[in-house]
Amino acid sequence: MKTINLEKLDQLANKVISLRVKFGIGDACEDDCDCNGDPDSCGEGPCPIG
Amino acid sequence: MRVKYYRLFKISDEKTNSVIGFIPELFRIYRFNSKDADILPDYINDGDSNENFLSKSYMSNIVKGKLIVTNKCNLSCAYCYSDCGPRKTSVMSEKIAYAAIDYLIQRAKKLNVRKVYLSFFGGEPTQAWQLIQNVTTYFNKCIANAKLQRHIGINTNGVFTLEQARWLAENLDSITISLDGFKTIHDIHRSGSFDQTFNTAQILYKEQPQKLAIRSTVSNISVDSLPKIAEFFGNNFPHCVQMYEPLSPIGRGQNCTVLKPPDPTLFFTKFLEVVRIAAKYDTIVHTSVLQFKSMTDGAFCGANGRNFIVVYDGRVISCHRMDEEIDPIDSFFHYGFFNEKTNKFVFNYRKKKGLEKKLNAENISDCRNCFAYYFCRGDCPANKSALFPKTFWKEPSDKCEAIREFVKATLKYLLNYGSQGLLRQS
Repeated sequence: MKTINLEKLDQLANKVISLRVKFGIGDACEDDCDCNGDPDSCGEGPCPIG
Repeated sequence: MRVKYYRLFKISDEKTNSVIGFIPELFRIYRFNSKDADILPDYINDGDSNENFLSKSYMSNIVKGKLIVTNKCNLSCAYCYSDCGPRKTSVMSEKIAYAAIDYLIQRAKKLNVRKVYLSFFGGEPTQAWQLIQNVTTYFNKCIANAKLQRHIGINTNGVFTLEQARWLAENLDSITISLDGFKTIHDIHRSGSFDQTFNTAQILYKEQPQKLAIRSTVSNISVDSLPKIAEFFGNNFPHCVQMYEPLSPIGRGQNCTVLKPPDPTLFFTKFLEVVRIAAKYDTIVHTSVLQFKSMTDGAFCGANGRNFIVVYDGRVISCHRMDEEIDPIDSFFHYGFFNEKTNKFVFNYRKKKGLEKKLNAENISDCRNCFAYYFCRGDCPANKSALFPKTFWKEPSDKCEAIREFVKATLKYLLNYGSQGLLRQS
């Protein structure tokens, strides 16, 4: 499989951003929650039907 | 050390004659010159890096439950997915609610989890006011006895008394209020309830601003105004999370003559404008097809059997859209019930396992090689079930093309402006 490592990839890019997608960055959340600050999604995941 | 490989998606951006690179597992986004992109492979290795890029597995240690305490509602919103209104009268018994809490506590102990989440839903949950108060008291007692922590949330229309608003602000941890915009829009959407809902939101914000979140359903008549609506919310409720979802054409929303779902492309375009406004007010906005979450999970939401949602009559379901057992699709999400004799819940584990297996976007052939899959996970299964009743779990979203363009535009936004307005910054 043709591949390169991350360091090389970063060098090839004009711009790189690494998102701090982590658990529990919402106000009402804890570090074991993935709601990213959305209290509505605590429990069931994001729901389009409200 | 074992080398790990990550998928690299390459997405052409004709407007800037460049290529956007995206590694979903690491949430890393790149911009390359088109000529450099030709030599890029499809997989990247992590070389000798010791950095722990991967997040832990999804929802590994949380115990959560939702109680649909009633189907009664004091409004009759034009688009209600559940066709709720004052003529419905079912309310959950304390026996069922307490048994649900017992189950959650027992499960938390078994899994050695320190925090239990409970949320109230309806109908309009505050229409079962006495029950909510009693359940909160019982939950607090159980949590204290078990030496656990708690989180209680509610989704509400905000049409209740000042005393009720104050009680919720004091006793619950998060309150999501349905507010569809300013008065002219909200009143058409939601039974002329703007004055009361807005007043409640103001009280809640004054009492406990960090507990308040706003959820807005967006229709064909409100979509153009989304940026103004976001400014309106930002001005009145700075820092509060704003959630925007297109109207779902189900329940009353299916036959509503006044309100229709917004054009998806227009909705997503306006949503990205809203992100910049949210950043200005130091808050974040959400919409469900733009999920920033662990890469280890292929499910759109907990409808895949992860959810423990108890309906007022004791049924256990995985999707709150399916609260009425009307057609075969509702029963698809129904995997347990409350046994009055034993006072316990009985589960159909085979069915639960089946939900987990079926409701995974990896089953959708169009999703397998799509960069947008990592954000939309094949879109909402309940919405798709209205369009494809027999095959919804393996169908792509009807908004698939628009979602792809939206995700591409979001990746560009992230490269240009960072994640302000989409993710908390600290």
